[in-house]
Amino acid sequence: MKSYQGISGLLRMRKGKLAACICGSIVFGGCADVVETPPASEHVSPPPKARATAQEDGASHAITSAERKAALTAVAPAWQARALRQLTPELQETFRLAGSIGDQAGPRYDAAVAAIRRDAVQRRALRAFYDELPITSYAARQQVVLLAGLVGESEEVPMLEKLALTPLQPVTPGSLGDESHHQPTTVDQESELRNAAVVALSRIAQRGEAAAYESLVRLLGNGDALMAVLAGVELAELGKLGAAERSVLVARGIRGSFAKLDFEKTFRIDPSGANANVRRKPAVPPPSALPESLNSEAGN
Amino acid sequence: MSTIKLLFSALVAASAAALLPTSARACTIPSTPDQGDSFAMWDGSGWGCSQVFINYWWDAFDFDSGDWDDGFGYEAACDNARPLARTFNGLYSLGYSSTGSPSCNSNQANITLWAQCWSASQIDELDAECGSGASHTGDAAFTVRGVDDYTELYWPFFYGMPTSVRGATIFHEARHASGCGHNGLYGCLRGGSCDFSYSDGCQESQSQGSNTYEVNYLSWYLATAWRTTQSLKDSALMHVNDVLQRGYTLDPCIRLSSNGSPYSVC
Repeated sequence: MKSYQGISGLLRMRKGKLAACICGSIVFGGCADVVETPPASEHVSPPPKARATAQEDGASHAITSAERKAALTAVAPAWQARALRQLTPELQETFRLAGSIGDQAGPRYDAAVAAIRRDAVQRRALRAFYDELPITSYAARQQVVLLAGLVGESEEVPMLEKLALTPLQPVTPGSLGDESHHQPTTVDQESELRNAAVVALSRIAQRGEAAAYESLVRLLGNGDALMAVLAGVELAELGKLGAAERSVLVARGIRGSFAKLDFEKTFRIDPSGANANVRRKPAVPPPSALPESLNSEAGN
Repeated sequence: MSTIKLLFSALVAASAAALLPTSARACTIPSTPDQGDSFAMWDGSGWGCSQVFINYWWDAFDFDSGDWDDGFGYEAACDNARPLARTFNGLYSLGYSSTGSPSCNSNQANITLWAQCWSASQIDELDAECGSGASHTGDAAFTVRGVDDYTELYWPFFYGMPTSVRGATIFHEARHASGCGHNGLYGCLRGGSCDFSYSDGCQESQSQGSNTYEVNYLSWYLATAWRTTQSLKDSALMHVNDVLQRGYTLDPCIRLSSNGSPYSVC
């Protein structure tokens, strides 16, 4: 959950300023006036301490094979390490590929997903893994649900429908901090998980699984209003939001047109927005992405 | 497990405890924090922990060593378990998911092409803090404007979000930094950080707020990002629908389908 604070935020001390304040006299609010004076070298590009460790010797892109391997193996995905070990190597690799960014990211991930989809053993392992995850392993659960949508068949439908039907805990505004907009983001995570379940059901339905389509129809009547609307959108996307389905929604007071909107008009940044195009700092042109060949060889 | 302990003496901490925000406490890096970050950085498609990118982000977003040391990653910028590298990965997603050559021309309809540059020009400096110290509770980010402007990133940003959502969060905060605070108070379903409506989300003027900027960015990401995976796009999709469902006092009546198309739902 993001938040924003106006001038009252000046009373919050930051990590860097904390040390400076403590070195001097402790005065309430006094830290806001402390001026950080980093060493001059910090202003020199590159900042010496922020160098990539593998490049401290000056070698360009000199990431060693051992370092690359360590980066890929020592840092396990964001779920319980014990549960992770129960996954098959193929599923582990697919989850890691899920985070790729770059020219080949999509094709490589799609290939891994296609292999999982063809293998019933892998899909069973995926379901078993999900069953063993603690409810608070949100990142892992989300990854499993999203992958289930890409590889799943009728066997995955009950789990996804159950997830979509999970009641969302209400957020009581009075329980929030009065200064910053502190949020119990576990509710946000649950909400996103439910959204992912509906998307997953839709993706399975798009591959012709009748059970997934029927689940979406049930959500129109059984899901809460948020889920019913989202199921309606997916059925509209599938071209299967007919009169019967609409009547279920209308009976619940959901009277939207479920018509597709013009994308560019809907998602346009209004340039007349306050300061929207006023640059606070000079715009610095970003570098171009590395040539694929350069980076792909870095760890080999 | 690495433990980050901020630098203050026990004696001073005791006397200054009333001053300390929750962020000024020790926090612990999760033992298994990946979320695909290793592949965002390494393995052919990523930014390779290139010094070129580090230099650009460090200067453009005005990182300071004093805000990113003590275990936050200044000493190990390539360590994907630490907040600094995970922030870099989010910035890479923000700038390079739809193009290998992002620009600063904000007149382009496709926000993903200029979102990184615009964010850098709006955010005065980007800092790291523990925040709640937990991956899924408490604020993910916080922007302050006043005499001293800065944006802080917290544990849920580093360890509770995939890179695609981290990038969108930077863009969200950049809208705050540009002079736009949420105007919906606690009136939305998520109970905080609410924009009043889709076109009116700022305290300062009637214009699009941070939530709408985030939604617009992510919608373009879903439509045009090709240097990414379906998984990162699906993570973005479930997040953007959550903002549309629960982030506005007045429901904007828009939801995105699984292929990223907007539908009118009211």
